[in-house]
Amino acid sequence: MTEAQAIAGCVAGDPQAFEVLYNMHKRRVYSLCMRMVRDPAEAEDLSQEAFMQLFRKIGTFRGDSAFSTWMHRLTVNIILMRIRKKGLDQVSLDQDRDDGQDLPPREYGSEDIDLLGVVDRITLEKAIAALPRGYRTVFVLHDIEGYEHNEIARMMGCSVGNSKSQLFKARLKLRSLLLEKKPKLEKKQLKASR
Amino acid sequence: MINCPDLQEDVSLWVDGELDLTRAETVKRHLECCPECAAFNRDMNAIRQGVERLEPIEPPDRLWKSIRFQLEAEGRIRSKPKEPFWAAIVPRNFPDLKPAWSGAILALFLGIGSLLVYDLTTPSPVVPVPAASTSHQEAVLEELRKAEANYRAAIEALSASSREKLESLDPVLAQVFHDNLATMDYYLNECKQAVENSPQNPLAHRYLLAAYQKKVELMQTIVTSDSLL
Repeated sequence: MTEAQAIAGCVAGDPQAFEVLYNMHKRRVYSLCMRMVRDPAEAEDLSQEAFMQLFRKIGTFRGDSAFSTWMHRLTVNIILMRIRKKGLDQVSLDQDRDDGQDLPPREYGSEDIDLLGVVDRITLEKAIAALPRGYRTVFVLHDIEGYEHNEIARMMGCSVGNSKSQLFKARLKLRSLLLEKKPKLEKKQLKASR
Repeated sequence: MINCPDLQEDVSLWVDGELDLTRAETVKRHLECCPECAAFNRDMNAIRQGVERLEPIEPPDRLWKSIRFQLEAEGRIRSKPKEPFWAAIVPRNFPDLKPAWSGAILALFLGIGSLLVYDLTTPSPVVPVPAASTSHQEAVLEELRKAEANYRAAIEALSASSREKLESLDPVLAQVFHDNLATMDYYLNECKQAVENSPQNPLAHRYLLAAYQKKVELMQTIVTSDSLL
């Protein structure tokens, strides 16, 4: 069954079509939810809400954009709405709450340290999860999901400059988190080589 | 003089290709002579490459079950038309026998059903009951009771092993057998009722024994269901 056939099937109430469409998009939707909220139970809840909204609105899909884009935007909106409603540890994008405390110390003139060989998949996932929510939101939307700053600004109700600035801070923080893990990883690698 | 922390924000933009040509040129020149910012640039690229290697996260199976449950509750999923019971009685992975099974089961139930209806709606027996003596009638009923006792013993003997078998079978197939056993029991009770209503009617006797026979056959099928798979 193609995506277009599955969409038509969903409109007609065909159970198999719902399942096909779910299987086509489940990983991307769930990954986005997981990376944005970190909590598996909340990610499941958000994914369910996203798919239910999708299936309720599927009759209004006109095909002006790719279905995955439509579905994805819908999911992002649901996540952002939940984050706003809960007002958890969100970093406001309209004020630079960060006064340098969150960011890594800059040691100019120190030895050349870089992350080559450190950024493996699991370490990176952990470091992303450890980012403050506001930084993480922009980082996930821009660097993982590929949204442009103007789209992020529109979705989050902030300026483009603010989105860029948050992304920079997110990357800076991520770098420091990864560098913290570097000595541990090197020890592990050393042990493994012995 | 270039301030490294300020320039690193430009490096971050440069990595994304979001810097105008003049600033991009400044960044490039600075990176050639500043090891700190050059390391920062390498790290930004390492993070980007790392992100590209991230894999999608698999949701748990229960997520679809929850969504499907909600879709059903909201009436968005069109429910499947229920299969007739004789279609369900045949294991799905045994398609060659399906027409034969369906035909046989359909014929059995149609036969039992129509004869029951005939029997229950006919005021007098179709076959004139000879004016048998009371002792003869008693003897016939005694024979019927003995035959019933034999069938019940057979059912009792098969029940433990068939129950065990049903527990070990694929739940879908087990449910099919459960449903058909329930149908058999229903017809068996109908036949018993018919005998109670017309104890002298030989047709009622025959159908009761046929119903027992079919139940035993079904239980034997369950016990030997490995050979079907």
